[in-house]
Order: sequence, then structure tokens, then C-alpha cells
Amino acid sequence: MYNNTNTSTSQLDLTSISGNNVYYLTNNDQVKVVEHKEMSVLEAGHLLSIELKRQKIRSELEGLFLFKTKNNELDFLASHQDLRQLLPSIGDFFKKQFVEEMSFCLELMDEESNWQTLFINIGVSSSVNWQEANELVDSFFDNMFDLYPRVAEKLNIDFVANAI
Amino acid sequence: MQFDPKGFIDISKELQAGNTEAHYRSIINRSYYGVFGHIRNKLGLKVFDTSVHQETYKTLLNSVSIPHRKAAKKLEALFKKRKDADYNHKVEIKKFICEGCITDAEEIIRLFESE
Repeated sequence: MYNNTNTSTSQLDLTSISGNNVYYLTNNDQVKVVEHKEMSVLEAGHLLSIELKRQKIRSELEGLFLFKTKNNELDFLASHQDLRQLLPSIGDFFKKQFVEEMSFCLELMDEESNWQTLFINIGVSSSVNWQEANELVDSFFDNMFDLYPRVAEKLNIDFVANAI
Repeated sequence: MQFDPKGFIDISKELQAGNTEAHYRSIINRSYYGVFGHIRNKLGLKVFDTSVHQETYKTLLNSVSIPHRKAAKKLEALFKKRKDADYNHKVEIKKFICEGCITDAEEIIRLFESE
């Protein structure tokens, strides 16, 4: 798995996983350890698996959602498989509801350990019709509570000023 | 006669006459506390070991009533907006977002009282 040779690097910069270690993912998905001072192979492997999972989730949602933070939303999705599986369909659903270009950004609201909710922040302009927006959210949650009640508990919708 | 915090929503409407960001942030704050306080009182919640905001939200969310569960989701979204309005001063608050908060507050009360 680990490859310490000077292979060309690209794709994924994993420098965030440790202050003392610098990792790169090569084109053939091998990891090149550029610098390794204190971290054990087991620790590095664990952190690497987390980062690879983040990258996989990010790629699953590419083109559908932006992320408010670098890792919080990805880590939440990594531990909530049911929500992760449904999210691409939900993203498609919301994209089809709006004629004009909208931004869809995932934001984890992390109040306490037992109050975490993933918000889909929908960017709207000043021309938004709040009654229609409310009806859309109502309709969405009617379906979610009926079909996916456990997922509905972890997910919410918010309308924010469009940054586009 | 006990005060009904729902009156804060009327205050948030009056604040719409103002055109500063302080007005906008106050509109969001009063909208949230109007609906939150009203529902908390109606539910008769006594909370000692956790956030009363969380307890109000979870009580609605765990209801068998779909309108109450939808009210929970809207209340949670308004809670998030209120926190941003009160504490996140880096992001500009737009007036039209405040209008949405008042609409949401009234809708939450309608959903809550529909059952």
C-alpha cells in the first residue's frame, strides 16, 4: 500500500492528516509518504482510510452540493450511511425544482453530540416566493417522513441569500 | 394574565420599518423567540439537564403528528438562522431573508396549532 519511491503525484493532497507527515495519493491510488517523523503505520493507515472515505463521498456528491467546511459534513455523512445513500437523489430532486441557477451547500449544524443535523442550504435571491418555498419544504418532508423517517430526522432545509 | 411570547413576532414585523442590519438581525431573533417561547410554554417543558431549545425541537420531532414534525424542522431552521444573526457577524444579513423568517414563524405556529 505504501510507496516511498519518487512517483509522480496528483489528485489528492492529504497534507491535512498530520502536521508532521505529508502524504500524496499517486495516479494509481498508491500513497507516497514524503516525510514521516512520528506517526505509526497503523495511525497513518487509519487517518488515510478516513481521508479516502471523505474523498469518495465528495466525489459522489460532486456537481450537486458544495460543502460549508472542509471535513465536518463529510465526516457526518461517513457515519450516517442511510443519509449518504439518499443524498444524491435528494440533490437531483432539488435541482429540478428551480428554473434559475441555485447554489446547494451542505452545512452540519453541530449543537451538541445528540443534536446534529445536516442542512441543505439553498441559495435564493430576493425574488424568492416564501410561500412557494414553504410549500416545497412541506412537500419534501411529507415524503421524507413517510418513506425515510430516520433520514428525515438528520436532514433539514434552509434558504440562504444566494452567493452566486 | 401570562405573557404570550407570540407577541415578539408582531415586534419583528414592526422592526421591518427599519433598514439597518441591526434591524434585520433583530427581526430574525424576535421571530425565533416568539415562536420558540410560545411552543415551549404550550408544551409545558421543564428542562434541567439539556438545552430547552433542543428539548422543544425534539419534543415536536418525536410527535406522532406530521404537522408537529414539520414544525420541528422549520423551528430548527429558524434556530440556525437566529444563531447566525446573533453571533455570526461576518456574513451580511439581507432584508428578504428576514421576511422569510417572519413567514416561517407564522407557519410554525399554524402547524403547531393545527393539531
